[in-house]
Amino acid sequence: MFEKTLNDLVTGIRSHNRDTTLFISNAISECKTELKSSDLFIKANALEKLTFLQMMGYTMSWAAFSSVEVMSSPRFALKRVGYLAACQGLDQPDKSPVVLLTTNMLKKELRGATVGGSGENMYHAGLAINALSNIVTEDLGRELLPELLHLLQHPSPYVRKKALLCLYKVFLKYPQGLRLSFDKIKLCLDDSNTSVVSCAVNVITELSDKNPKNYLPLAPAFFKLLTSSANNWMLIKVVKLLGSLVPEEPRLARKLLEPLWNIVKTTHAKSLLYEAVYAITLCLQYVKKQDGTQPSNIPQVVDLCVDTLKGFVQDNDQNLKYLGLVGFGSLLTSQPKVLHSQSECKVLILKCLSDEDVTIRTRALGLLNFMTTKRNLVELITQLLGHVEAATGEYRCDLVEEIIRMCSSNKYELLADFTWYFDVLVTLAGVRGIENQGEVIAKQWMDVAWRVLPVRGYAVKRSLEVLLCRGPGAAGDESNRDGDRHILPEILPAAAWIVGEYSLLLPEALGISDGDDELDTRYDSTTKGAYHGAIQSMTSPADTAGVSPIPSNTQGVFVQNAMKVFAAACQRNIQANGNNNISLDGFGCSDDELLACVSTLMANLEIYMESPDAEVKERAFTSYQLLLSLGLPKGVSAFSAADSIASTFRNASPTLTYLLIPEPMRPISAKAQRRKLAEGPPSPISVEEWDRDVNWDALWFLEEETPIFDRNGNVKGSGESVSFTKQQTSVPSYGGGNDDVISGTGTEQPSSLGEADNILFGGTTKSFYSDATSGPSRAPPSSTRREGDPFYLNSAPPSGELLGTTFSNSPEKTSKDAADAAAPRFGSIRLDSGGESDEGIGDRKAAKKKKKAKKNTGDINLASLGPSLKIDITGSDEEDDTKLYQPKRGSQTNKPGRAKEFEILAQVDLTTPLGEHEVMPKNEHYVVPDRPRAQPEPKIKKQKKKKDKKKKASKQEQPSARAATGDLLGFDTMAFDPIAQSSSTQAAAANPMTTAAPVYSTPAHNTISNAFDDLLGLEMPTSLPTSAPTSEQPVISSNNQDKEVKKAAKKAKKLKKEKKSKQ
Amino acid sequence: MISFILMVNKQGQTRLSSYYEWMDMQERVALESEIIRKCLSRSELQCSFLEYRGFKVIYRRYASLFFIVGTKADLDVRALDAPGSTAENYENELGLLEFIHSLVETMDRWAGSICELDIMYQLEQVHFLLDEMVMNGYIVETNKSNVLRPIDLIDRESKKTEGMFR
Repeated sequence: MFEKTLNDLVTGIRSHNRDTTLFISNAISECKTELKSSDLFIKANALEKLTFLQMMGYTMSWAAFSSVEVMSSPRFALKRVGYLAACQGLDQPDKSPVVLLTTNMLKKELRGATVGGSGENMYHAGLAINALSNIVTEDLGRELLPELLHLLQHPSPYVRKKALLCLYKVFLKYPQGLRLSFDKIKLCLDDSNTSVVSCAVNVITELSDKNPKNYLPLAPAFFKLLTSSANNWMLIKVVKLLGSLVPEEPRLARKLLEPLWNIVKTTHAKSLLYEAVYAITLCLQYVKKQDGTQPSNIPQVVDLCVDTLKGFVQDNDQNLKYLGLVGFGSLLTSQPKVLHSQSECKVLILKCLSDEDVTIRTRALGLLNFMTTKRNLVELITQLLGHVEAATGEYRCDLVEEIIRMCSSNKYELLADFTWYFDVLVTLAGVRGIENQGEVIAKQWMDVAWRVLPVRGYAVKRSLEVLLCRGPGAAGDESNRDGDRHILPEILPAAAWIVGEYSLLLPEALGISDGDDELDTRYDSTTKGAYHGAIQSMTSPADTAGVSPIPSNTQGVFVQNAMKVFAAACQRNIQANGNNNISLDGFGCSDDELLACVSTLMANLEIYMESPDAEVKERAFTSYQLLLSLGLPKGVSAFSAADSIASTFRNASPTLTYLLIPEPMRPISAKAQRRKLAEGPPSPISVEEWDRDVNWDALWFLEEETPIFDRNGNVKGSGESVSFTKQQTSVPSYGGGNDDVISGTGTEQPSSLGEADNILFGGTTKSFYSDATSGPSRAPPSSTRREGDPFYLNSAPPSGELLGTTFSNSPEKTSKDAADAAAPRFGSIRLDSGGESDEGIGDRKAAKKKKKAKKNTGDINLASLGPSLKIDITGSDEEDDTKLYQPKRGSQTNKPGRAKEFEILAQVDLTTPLGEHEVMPKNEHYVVPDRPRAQPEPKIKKQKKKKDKKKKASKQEQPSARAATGDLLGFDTMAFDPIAQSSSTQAAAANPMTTAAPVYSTPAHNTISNAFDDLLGLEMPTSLPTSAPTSEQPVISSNNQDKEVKKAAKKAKKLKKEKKSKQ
Repeated sequence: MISFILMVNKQGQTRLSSYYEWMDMQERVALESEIIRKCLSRSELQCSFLEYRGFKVIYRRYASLFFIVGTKADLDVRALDAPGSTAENYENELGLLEFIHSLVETMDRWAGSICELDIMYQLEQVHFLLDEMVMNGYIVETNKSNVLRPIDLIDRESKKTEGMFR
């Protein structure tokens, strides 16, 4: 039978261009049968084909055993095929049982190189080493480490360097080996052959990546290499290695500058040049002397770096351009301000943003962060917005992310004009294809409105505009916007929340005029005014029942905020009435508008009440019943008497306001809840105290009969089922995200009408709850009671009116003020955080770590601010920013298993000398070469070893029978103890190999027990009589012990058999 | 270290692949096809590096054959502790470009003018040659004659009927 060769296979695949699957599956099944053949040629041929198929994506792990078979072929050509197949196609080596089979084969190959010394064996060993590095496991590493170390002294550099490189892989799997063999690796640094030295550097570079501390003592040796070597390949590695040592030993940084400088000045190889510059940028982070001063030559070094990198970026070669940008990235981490004065570089980098290569664009984008100053932020962002238009795909998202990061980093450090920023956000909200950034934008959107008081009005205006532009009115208007303006769906709840929460600012917002852009408040043709428009846009039935309904959580926010707008409308109506119906500034709320609001609400809430979503339904129902309970006659329509409705709601206005918008929400620190939790349960509020806080006047309707319900006879509508306490349970679930803003919406919920709530709510919602309870006390601006309450963290910059006015001018200052004010309170809270949950502590630790990192970059800044700010840094709400905008680190797609390997290797400590306790494993390894003297056959030696293990095992299990088990293997007593002997003969019979080893003088026809007799008779005839009585003693003395002896023997036998079958 | 080396033709078919870290077959096929797709879609004007899923891919095109080298920063343990350190311990990108060139030159010298079919039909020898140059992710030899010595030896021996290297 003629088998297909690889060539046939390749030709076959190429001729079946259309559909190769059938051909390939045929080929694989052919290979399967061929592998069953006993001819190694055929097997190798099949393996070769399989290797090819493996490359095409067909697994060949099932052929592992065959590859081992072929590996054992004495013919080099076949062997190579076997090794290749094993390297390429073996299943995960750790899990593959076949790997164990190769142990002895590899060992033989490795030894072969030392024995023969001729050229051929060298290549055999090279092959074996290569395979070993691919398939090494822990066991394999332990077994073969001595051989590999031995090869480090091989006369041929070919073998030396291969063995050296293989060691790294061995250490990965068998980290204990590192300590034992590191001295030998060190010796290789002085090897006569440069390529061996280069390999040693390679290995140490990799090792030092895991735990640089270990290799610091070698720094002088590398330093010498750096200054003396002329081999660029090696220099690159040495530079890399030294660069990675610098963080561990900052003093090294200053030392390195000079030789690196020389390299930069002299080398012609761009690769080395780049590597040296990159290393310098790494060093620059650590050059600071202990007294805090910089060495005098730093500016020159920085200039050199900038010049070199600029040269790279300017180069026509795209590769160099890319590397230049990467280098700048590294340089800027240590010298963040360096680009501020280099306008030429800035222009270059900005030019890269419009490069056609996305790799380069992304790198350039990463640098922008360092180029922004207060002065050029607006200009840069404007440019970036232009790029957003042109960009596509992932890069567009990156751009948007970067824009937001640049503006918001460090608490909006660089931002001066928040109105402008809000416009930027509005623009971004209209960009298509950045859905994954929607949440970030929405968060910023709310955050700005929340924290920056002066732009609140403007935010309301733009948010209202966003809401209204969805309506048919805006679409039909075709003023200057196209009909289907795209709005990121995540923006809608944010906009609705702003309009609702700050609805009292609506008149002010509408009063803001920015030139030609006069906001058209009409939602559709029936819109009566701004309030009505807002309510219409937020309760549009099309949103819930239309063709493409908005998400239900957005609907929930809409309903709630429509009610808030309505409450504001009522209040506005009162104000207008108080002024004798003369609207204050043209944005009053007439009775007509109020009526329109009511009728819209009543009509639309009914639709929302049928929502399949529980949250929406519940909110709509509550709102609806609230309107009814306030005395609204059923069946209100646009034709009802506007006056009477208006007066009803004028009366109800305090209630609505009290329940829905007691006062604008304030920013709350991200940690406020956790801190509250850590503080323990709040002191119980007595009923009287609570009673005093509640504005009972506003709840007048509770005490009255609710006639509407009675008239309708609606049982559901009884005062109890409109119970607000029930409603409230839904709030925490809504604010479930850790977003303070959203959890804040809870305040508008009618809250805490029953003391029972106190019991209902668990610990986590307590802080939230207490916010609600103290809501009433907030209604009048008496904040005295709050003064000592740590819950009201005024840490955020524009907390309240007092700070808000100055905020936009000097945001930094206000934040400091706020922090100072809040600092002492934070301090006291943090002190008794003993009761905090583990998670909390973990979080805090993580936060502290981050802070530490921050401090590194901003040392000078901090020092000038004194201790009070330091407290702030560990306690303020900075956390959200760092969490949100932590720069993306290189994606760590490493498999966890691999990471674990590195970790173990990193734990190996080479700085301490080998201790006494380490002699043992060392012996185990170094003794191995001696063993062959005693036991020529490695196979037997191995089993012998196992026997030893078993001995240990049985010793542990049966300490009382220690002597007996010892007997089992010790030949002297065995002969004289009849019971032990008989059992051991059985064992020997079952496992002749093991016992065969010592029986070299036994004639073949003798039984094995006889053999022992002979042996003993030969060797120690004199001991025979003396030892006989002693060995008989246990037999006589106690039957008990006999039994134990038997048991132990049996056990040992069993173990042996098991081991054997495993093998 | 080098994570993988690929040789791919213009149609995106892999002609040789060598992985120096173990990877699940499915994962591998997905990664390979994605990287190949990205490399092939790039124009001459773009740089020879691309970043994908934590790999830094360096590629170079010779006639109809793409040589793709993937390198990966080993999980930097320190980076987790100190966010300040930005060490990206990749291989030197330009160095790898040089290496690719040296690989191609070596193969050229070995097979005259190397072409796709040479690689396919003599897969095993090419692997051997590659293993001489890269051992398990590390460049071990760049000297052409050193690399080719064992291969020449093999070739010579295999011409004899009863040689060691047959």
